[in-house]
Amino acid sequence: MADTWGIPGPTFLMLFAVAAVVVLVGTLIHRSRLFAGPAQVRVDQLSPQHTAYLNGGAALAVYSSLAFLRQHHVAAADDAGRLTRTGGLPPGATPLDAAVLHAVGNGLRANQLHTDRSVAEALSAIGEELRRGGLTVGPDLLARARRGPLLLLALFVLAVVRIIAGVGNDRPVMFLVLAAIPVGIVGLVLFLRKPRRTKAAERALLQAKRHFNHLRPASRPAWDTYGPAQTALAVGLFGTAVLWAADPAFAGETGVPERDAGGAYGPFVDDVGGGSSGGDSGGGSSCSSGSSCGGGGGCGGGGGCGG
Amino acid sequence: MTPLAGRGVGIGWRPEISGFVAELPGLRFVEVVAESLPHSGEPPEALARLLAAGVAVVPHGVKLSLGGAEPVDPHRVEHLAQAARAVNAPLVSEHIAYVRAGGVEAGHLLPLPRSREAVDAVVANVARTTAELDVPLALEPIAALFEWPDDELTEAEFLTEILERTDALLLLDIANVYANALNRGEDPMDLLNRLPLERMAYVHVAGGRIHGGRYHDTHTDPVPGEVLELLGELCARQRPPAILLERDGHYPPAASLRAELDALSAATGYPVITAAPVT
Repeated sequence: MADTWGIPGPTFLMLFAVAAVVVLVGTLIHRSRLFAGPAQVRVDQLSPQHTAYLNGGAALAVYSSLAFLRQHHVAAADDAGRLTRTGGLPPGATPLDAAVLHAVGNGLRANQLHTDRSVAEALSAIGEELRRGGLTVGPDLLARARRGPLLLLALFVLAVVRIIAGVGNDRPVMFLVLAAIPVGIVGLVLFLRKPRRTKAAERALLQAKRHFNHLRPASRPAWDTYGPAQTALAVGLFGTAVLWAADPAFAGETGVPERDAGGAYGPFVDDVGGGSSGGDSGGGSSCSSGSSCGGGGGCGGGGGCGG
Repeated sequence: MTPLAGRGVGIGWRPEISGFVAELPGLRFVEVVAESLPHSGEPPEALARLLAAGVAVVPHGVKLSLGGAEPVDPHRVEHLAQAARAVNAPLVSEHIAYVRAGGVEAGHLLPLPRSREAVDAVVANVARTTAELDVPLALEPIAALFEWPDDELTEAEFLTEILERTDALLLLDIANVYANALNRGEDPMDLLNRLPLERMAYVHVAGGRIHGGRYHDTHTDPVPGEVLELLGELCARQRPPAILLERDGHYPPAASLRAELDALSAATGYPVITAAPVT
């Protein structure tokens, strides 16, 4: 019996394994560089709303703004739980505050504020700034980060084809099966993983949570002493539980969710685009971009295996 | 040299305002409720940061019940001593009061009848306490909304005798002095003139308000101008080594709290702690 595709099994297996390891290592290095973010980020240099957006997404940024306005006594609730405006824009207000206050004047409930068009615009501006600053992972970055996993998946497909051919050729395929499965799983997991924040942003958030630990609701912080800006920051770092702690009646009447922080506030509005995966499917060609993909040279070998 | 000499104006450290306290550039000492400190191990991180910055931390007990007829609970004494060690305290303080009797917790600091028997009880309990402490103890008389009918001693005699027999320091609460005098229709200076002011370790200042015709030492209201005036008069007699603002609730905006601290500096001549010290 002839070797499948004219390549002896052990040789193919070795080439496959080497290619998989090289691609995997290259992928991990490439991704860690892509997701590293800027060297220096200090969350205390961001506005409370940027921090909120970074930590809990667009919805949390809205609640952070609402906390700021409420602490300035320019937002209240009517009997039906609709928001009402009770004053002008306070000093230090951001474009999002202005949009939220405008939406408050339209009698929305707290959990509807993000549907207001000017609020949505202000939110997407914040999202864009965070992405430009290298704090969040946008569709662009994600597409680049998926090239490596796509190569792994391509290797997996190649192995599957070889296994089918090998079975047809009555050759043993057990070792190739055992080698292909982890490659497929790792490729799929890496392909599907979508970090929202860069490592730099994660570090900065952790640092901010430590630095502003006294703003945790568990310390029953004196919100009047800390003032509107720090209350807004507390919402950004520790979630809507802060609004419930600072002003339970208002939070309850206007429909502020009670859940704690950690991404439970709906999607990143800028994260739902999903990126066009068509551009990535070029597989081997995309390898040329990243230097770490020099490892992708292994995939050239893989191409040779296919022949 | 008293333990807090030169520490100037301080503030009662509470978790609710710990972020505010941490940002006071000239702060040299704080007081912390002793019972809120852990029995063993490190103090809370926020306090540890203050300690690292050279701020003195004074554990202030509220539940020892030194004035109780029964001996103080050895576990509570041990905790106070541990707390003092944990924060490397220059001294600790407690009240001349009782908070439990016959196993029942009052939940408040209750005043003692000013009798010789009560003096003996306090002196015995202070001796049991200081035996376990590595640092001096300061005793704080409390505000009393009522008087016991069979008081044998005047307040000054009562306090002086306790301080002399125990060799404890005095933690004078100037708002209490004001409250007691106002509620009893006396001149607060009469008491100040009779107290052993040279024993002062530090002074408490707190806010209060008139309610139902009586002055209540609430710790949740602004410090009245009259209390600040009395503080000024105390300083004219004998300036205390250090002075502490006690605030326990209804915390005002940071600017108001800073203004109260600055008012204490103005009344005592100690440096302002809300701005960076001039070097």
